[in-house]
Amino acid sequence: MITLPKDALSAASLTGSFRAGGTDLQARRARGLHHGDVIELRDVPGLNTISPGPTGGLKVGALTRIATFAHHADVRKGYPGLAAAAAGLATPAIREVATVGGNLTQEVRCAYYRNPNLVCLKKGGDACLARGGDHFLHSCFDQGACAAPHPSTLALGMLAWDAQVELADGALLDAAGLYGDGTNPRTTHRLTQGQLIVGFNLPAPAANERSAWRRVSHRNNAEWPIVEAIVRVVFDAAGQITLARVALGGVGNTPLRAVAAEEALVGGPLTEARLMAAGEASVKTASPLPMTRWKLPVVVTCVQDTLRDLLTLETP
Amino acid sequence: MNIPSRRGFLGGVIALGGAATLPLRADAESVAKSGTPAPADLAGADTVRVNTQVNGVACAETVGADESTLSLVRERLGLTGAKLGCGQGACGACTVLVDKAPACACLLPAVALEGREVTTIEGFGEALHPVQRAFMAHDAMQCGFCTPGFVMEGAAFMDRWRAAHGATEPSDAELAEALAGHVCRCGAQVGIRAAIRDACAGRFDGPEKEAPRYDARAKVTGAAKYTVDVMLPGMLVGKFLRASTPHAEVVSIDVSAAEALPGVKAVKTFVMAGAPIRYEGQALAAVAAIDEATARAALAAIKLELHQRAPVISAETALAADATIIFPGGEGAASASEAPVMKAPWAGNLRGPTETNLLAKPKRAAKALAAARAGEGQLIEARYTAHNQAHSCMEPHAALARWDGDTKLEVWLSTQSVDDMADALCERYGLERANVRVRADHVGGGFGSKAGVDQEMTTAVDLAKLAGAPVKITFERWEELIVGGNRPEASVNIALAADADGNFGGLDAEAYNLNGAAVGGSTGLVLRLLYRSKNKDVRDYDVLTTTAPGKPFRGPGGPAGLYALEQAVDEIALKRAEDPITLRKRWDPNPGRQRLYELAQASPLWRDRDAQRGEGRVRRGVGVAAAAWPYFLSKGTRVELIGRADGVFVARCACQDMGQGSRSALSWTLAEALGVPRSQIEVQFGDSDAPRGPASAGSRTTPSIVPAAEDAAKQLTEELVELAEDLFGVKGAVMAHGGVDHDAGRLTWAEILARSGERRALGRRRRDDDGYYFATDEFGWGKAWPGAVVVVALEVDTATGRVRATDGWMGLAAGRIMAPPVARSQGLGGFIQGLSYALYEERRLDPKTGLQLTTNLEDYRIIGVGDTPNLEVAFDETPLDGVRGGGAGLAELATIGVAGAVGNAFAHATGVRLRSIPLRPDRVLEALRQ
Repeated sequence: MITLPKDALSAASLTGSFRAGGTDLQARRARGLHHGDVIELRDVPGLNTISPGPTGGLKVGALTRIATFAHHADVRKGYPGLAAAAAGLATPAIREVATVGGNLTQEVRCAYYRNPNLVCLKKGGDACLARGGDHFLHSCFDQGACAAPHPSTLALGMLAWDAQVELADGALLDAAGLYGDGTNPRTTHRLTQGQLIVGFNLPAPAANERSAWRRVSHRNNAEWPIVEAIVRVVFDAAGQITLARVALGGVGNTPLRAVAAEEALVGGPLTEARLMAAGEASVKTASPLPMTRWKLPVVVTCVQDTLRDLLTLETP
Repeated sequence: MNIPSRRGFLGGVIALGGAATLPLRADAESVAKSGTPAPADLAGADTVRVNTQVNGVACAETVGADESTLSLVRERLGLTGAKLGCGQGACGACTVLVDKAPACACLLPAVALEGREVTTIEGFGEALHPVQRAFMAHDAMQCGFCTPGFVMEGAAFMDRWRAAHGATEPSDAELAEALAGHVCRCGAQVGIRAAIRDACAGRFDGPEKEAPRYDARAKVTGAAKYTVDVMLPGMLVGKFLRASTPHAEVVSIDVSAAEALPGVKAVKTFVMAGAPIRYEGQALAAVAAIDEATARAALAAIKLELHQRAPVISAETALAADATIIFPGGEGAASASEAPVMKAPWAGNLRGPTETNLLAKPKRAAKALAAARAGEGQLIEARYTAHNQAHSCMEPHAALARWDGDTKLEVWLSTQSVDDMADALCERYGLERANVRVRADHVGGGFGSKAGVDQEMTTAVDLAKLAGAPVKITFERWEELIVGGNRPEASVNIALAADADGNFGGLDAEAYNLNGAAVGGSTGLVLRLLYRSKNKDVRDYDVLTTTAPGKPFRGPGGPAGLYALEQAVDEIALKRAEDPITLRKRWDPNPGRQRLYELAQASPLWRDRDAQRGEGRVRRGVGVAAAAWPYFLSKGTRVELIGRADGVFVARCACQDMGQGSRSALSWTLAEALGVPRSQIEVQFGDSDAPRGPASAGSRTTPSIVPAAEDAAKQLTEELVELAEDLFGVKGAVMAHGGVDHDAGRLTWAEILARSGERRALGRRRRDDDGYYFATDEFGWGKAWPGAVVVVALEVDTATGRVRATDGWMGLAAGRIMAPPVARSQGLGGFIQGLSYALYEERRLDPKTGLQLTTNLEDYRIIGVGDTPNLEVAFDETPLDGVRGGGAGLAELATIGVAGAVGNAFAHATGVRLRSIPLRPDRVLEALRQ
């Protein structure tokens, strides 16, 4: 069954699964991984715009398409690392259809989850077969029973800029509120029936900040990350780093901040030595699975390369 | 998955190609314009009315929640240019434009189209977009199945690019990013990239030019029809129930509930109580139903009780003392080979050795190795391992069967041999050959996986008979990846010795072929083909596992065998501190490759390789490998050539073009033989009613059909010369370019045919002058040895483990090249497929359950445009002695050597010899760490 609510509040009152672009949902439904009623958001107005937030920053409607978001002048100007991440995720045709809200709440790409014949905690099963099976592309920060890395790239932006999602009832959730700490293996986010994301609120960027994104994957394009990073560094007038964010994707069951790497950056200028140390620190709390230890040097390199990109950007 | 209604299928029967024939409903336009959404309320409904525009024409349809845009355009509107490739947004074959932006039609719910404009490839019309013209000119395609998707994306990109940058060239990186969502299995990436770049730069704004490929226009416009595109009135959907466990015994199977479902028209079972299940995906039952949803419901209603057995997926478990025997007594295993399977002893799950030592001088090999082990010359002893590769054709396996009474049968089939399949159907169903017709107008790739009598064909035929209606079976992508065909994994233990003078001393090789539930692995045999007369002792073993049976795959055994041998040769050269090409020149007597070695060694790529290695994070390496493959042909091939009264020459043969360019080979060679433009040649393939044609397997299509066509041309033109004298009363008529010269002037073929009326000749594939090593009435193994030399340059990021090919050169010495631009595409395709095999592709299995994890095109990684380096293909066209027509096929030769060159390039770059592929980052980092 399908319903087509005309506003967000009535959408939130319905039972079923919200469908925005449908790029993930339809693939799962076609493989028999998802059943039940669809709440089609096509006719919900006003959720596909990007507008200034009340205290600076941007209010991004949840139904904004990834391509629109990635190429929006204000996003590119204020949040270049996030804009680059959005422009580099998936494929052009997916980005034209998939939405910001959908990207934040999509399901894991784990082959065990996606194969209808295999048991998985996220499908109600009693074990994670990947953990004892083939998991060489899975998490290397082991947070909970599910070994699959979180799939959302834009979620890294939530960590880097302390962004929040806004729900239809006005509630605001930060990354921890939306994703938890990775200990619950059953879900990829903590939203429950009736909680509909209507917006993605980005606080105003700092006066003097730089950001960048990089993804390491086996093939060059259109592949889920071995690791990806958004780094954001805020400088004071003397060029000293006052705030740093290193957000990692592809490595944990939730999007993750490499806090030790951030600490290694703050308090001095961005130098080669400093960024190398930050990279090394980024895996300080890593807890690789038997087959994912190889990812650690890749994470280190990815963080260092992304930070190094900041050096070549023009002074903000 | 698209779940078309029964009405949907019927609606699709009439191909609604042009805008004028699209259904136009009175209410559609006004609703779309007013922006009023279709009626729906919060109470919900099973269907929604959607008003949209398709190719400029209003369209109103009632669709379900999950019906896709692809289903709407294909099944309801009959616009079959957009294809279902992966069903997941990873391959782009379904790309359409929605409000001028590309979208994956397979994932986009039709509901979302409300008030929006859809453009399919058919919407580009006859004038053609510059990108379409560029694809034609660059031959940016092979099978063509992915082409409409690439063209849609490319056109959208070009339009945006031109708006922002004018008529300038985008960079390779920009093109790679733009085309990131598209997979081309045949390996046309180089041409695709060039085509879109040139279209962006404004080089194809002018009028359309003739394409080198015969069917290029049909492919870029979406007009080319594949089996999956054929829709018949009353057609049913056939589907298999497949084992979702790799190893079990059937306790019971009960299909009664499925049979009782409304809309289910036929059910067939393949197993009964006690039957073994030997691999995941094994067909247990099949159903035919009025639509996809009903067929799925029927499968779900089949009650199956199994006694599970332990999966056997690795050589270690298969060969363990307590291993479960998969084929007790060695009975019933399928063959992974296209050659006859040689006898061999069985020991549990191990079969072999297969003797492959005829004229191989094994005793001399042993003596040479003993000398090397005693310290003379150089010795390398190592094991090389190559993984399992899925054919994963972009057009999945598909069959559509229609009976006319009990005696006449028509089958549309995605096949590499319409003729063999018609024979097989005659035999299986006891039918007259004249009453069986197998058709395959276009085939979306095969690579060996569509050469045999497969279950989708026989099951579609059986179900159609049971149901009394046409039945179409189309593999889903997961079926294609699990049971559609795979190249077996192989491990080769090699001992190779050079003698004290640096000559080839001896080779001992033992190949273990993990064919799954099949026998007939031939990786070791391939080691006989290179350094052909040297001292060798080569043995093949089959290791049986509970995975889908291997199938012949473009040079069966070749990539793994040459990966092993050519790395071992490289290792000897390194030990000797000798240029690996110089060593090969001494070891390899093949005259064609001798010429290619000279070319390769003189190339800047090779010459400068040491200077460019680098010592930093990124290392660069260049590797070489040689390749050899036998020359096969189909002796029984006939080509009928019809000179029509309108001056057009029509060639008919029960051959097929799965993208290799067989139609083009005929159009080029006939145009040359007749002296007429290619536009005057019509090639009719893909129909078993035509004269005897070859299977497109074993690289034998071109050397079979071209000589037969040239024979037909000779006969026909000789007759036309006589007719010129008879009908026009001219004297001294002699054959000339495009007609006859006579004492008083000249007559074209068209002028003669206009007067004579249609004339026909049946050409034969005449015998090779030197005869054959082996031949039957139909098959010949000719006495020529085509060869290849491959050079690959790559970069290794030692910090991330990523390996990226940057350049490549391939020399092919296969004699005369029939249609050079199309042959170049085939060479590039083989090259690219080989790179994909060595760097990215890999079937992965869950070690505990034995179930396959790579069941979609996201997890199963095929090389993308962004991973495709600059590649060059060079032909040495010295005619092959004794080969009628002067040339052999290229298909297999062009792919089998690539992995070895990649392995050697990696070793050159890093100083580390990695003896297993693919070169995954984790594996690379591990190797570098040690």
